Amino acid sequence: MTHDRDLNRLLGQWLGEGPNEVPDRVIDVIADRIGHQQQRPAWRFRWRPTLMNPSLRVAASLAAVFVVALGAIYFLGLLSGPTIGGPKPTGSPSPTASSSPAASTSPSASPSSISSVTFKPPLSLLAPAGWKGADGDRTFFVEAPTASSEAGNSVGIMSGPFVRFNDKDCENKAPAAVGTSVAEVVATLVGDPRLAATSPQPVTVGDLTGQMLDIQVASTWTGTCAWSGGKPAVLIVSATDTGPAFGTGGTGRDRYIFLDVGESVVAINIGTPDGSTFEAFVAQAMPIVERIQFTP
Amino acid sequence: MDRAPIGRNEGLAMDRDLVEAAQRGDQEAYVHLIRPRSDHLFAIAQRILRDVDRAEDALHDALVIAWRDLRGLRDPDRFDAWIGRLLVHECIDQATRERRRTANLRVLPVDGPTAPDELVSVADRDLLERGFRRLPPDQRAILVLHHYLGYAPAEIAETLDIPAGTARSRLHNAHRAMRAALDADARTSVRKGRPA
Repeated sequence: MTHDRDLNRLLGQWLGEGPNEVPDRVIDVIADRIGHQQQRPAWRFRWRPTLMNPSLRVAASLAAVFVVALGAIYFLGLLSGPTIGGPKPTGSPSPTASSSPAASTSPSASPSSISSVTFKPPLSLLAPAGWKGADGDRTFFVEAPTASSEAGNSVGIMSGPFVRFNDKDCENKAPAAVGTSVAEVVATLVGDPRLAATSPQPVTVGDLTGQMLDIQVASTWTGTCAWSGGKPAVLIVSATDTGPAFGTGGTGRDRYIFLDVGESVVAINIGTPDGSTFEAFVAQAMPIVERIQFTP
Repeated sequence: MDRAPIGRNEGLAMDRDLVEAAQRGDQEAYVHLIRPRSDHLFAIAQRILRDVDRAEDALHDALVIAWRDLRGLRDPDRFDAWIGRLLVHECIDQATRERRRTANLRVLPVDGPTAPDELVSVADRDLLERGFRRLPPDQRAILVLHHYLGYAPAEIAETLDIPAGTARSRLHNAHRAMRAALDADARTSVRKGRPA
């Protein structure tokens, strides 16, 4: 039965079997659910659908407390482990982190291990319960619980990023004539007049070295992107000519960590669409970043 | 293939107005948009996950994510392809988590009605089911995209956000893995059938 022709025929017939109708209640539940689910602003998208963990519904409240506690402990210096070395970036926007003001009396949940399946280089990390990973060949997202106050925030990881020029729609442009090393990418971003960037700082994640900086759209920049909803925006890095890409716009703030991972560079992005929540989210996300382990 | 692939469902006229209304936050428009597509999307999820409950979960999650991220869809005419891509990724993600939780393979009966046995024999169906469940989630999705939806490797590549060459090699690997799984099961069956 395993000749190619037989296998193709059997697979086609066998996959044709099975249920083809979804109960109406599923759509009814979705209709109810979206009534409580805000839509993300368009300019926050990274051109890659991100995924949601259904188990988040159960663990969300516990995860939120855990995340807050973890961030607070870390920034109080009470927690040791694989750390990002070097001083924090300085200047405006300030990368200073603080714990989230979210409050709950629920007990904290255990962290969970997340590993990539298709992302290269393979990675694993430890995230608070309720967070989830979303895999792609060139991007990997670690997402905050969708039912939490951090819903929509994520840590994005991209392999082989290169800097893009900004044009009227911020897409499908040839790579800029700059290099792709950590130093070259960082220097390009720091020198970009469309961005307000902190001074890059040397960092280490495990055995890997790199640079970290915080950025946001410069107050003088008025250019928009097709995806920015009329707000000033800048495309930051892309993995390929057609995406996925990381951009920032409006009042959003982003922390970027560029790491040298053997033969390639990995960009780690911590960002929030609303700059006022940036520091709290950085406090939650940095302990996750510190524990990322790549297998070059 | 005579089935409507994701994004090319001829029975569902693309309604750009509904997409644009939903992008502006119109929940009713979104429900009108997804309701006629839900059966087709559910069928795809069920083929990948081989479980009705998990397929419903995947569909639910994918459609809620789609609502959340709808404003990021730059071309409303690509809604079907976009939502199909979301669903497949969600199925892969769910199957991946399930594999991590399940140390030992457990073969479950196929949910829902089955076709007459003259199309696929009971024995073949059992071998296919077991072989398919052993595949990595991305290979399962590739087989469904190719054999259920009739996707060419280039279309699989677009759906899974991978290069076309990678899609071809993964399809090849999926076939090879399926064939190996079936052969292994067949050999086991033969050995078990021999007298001691």
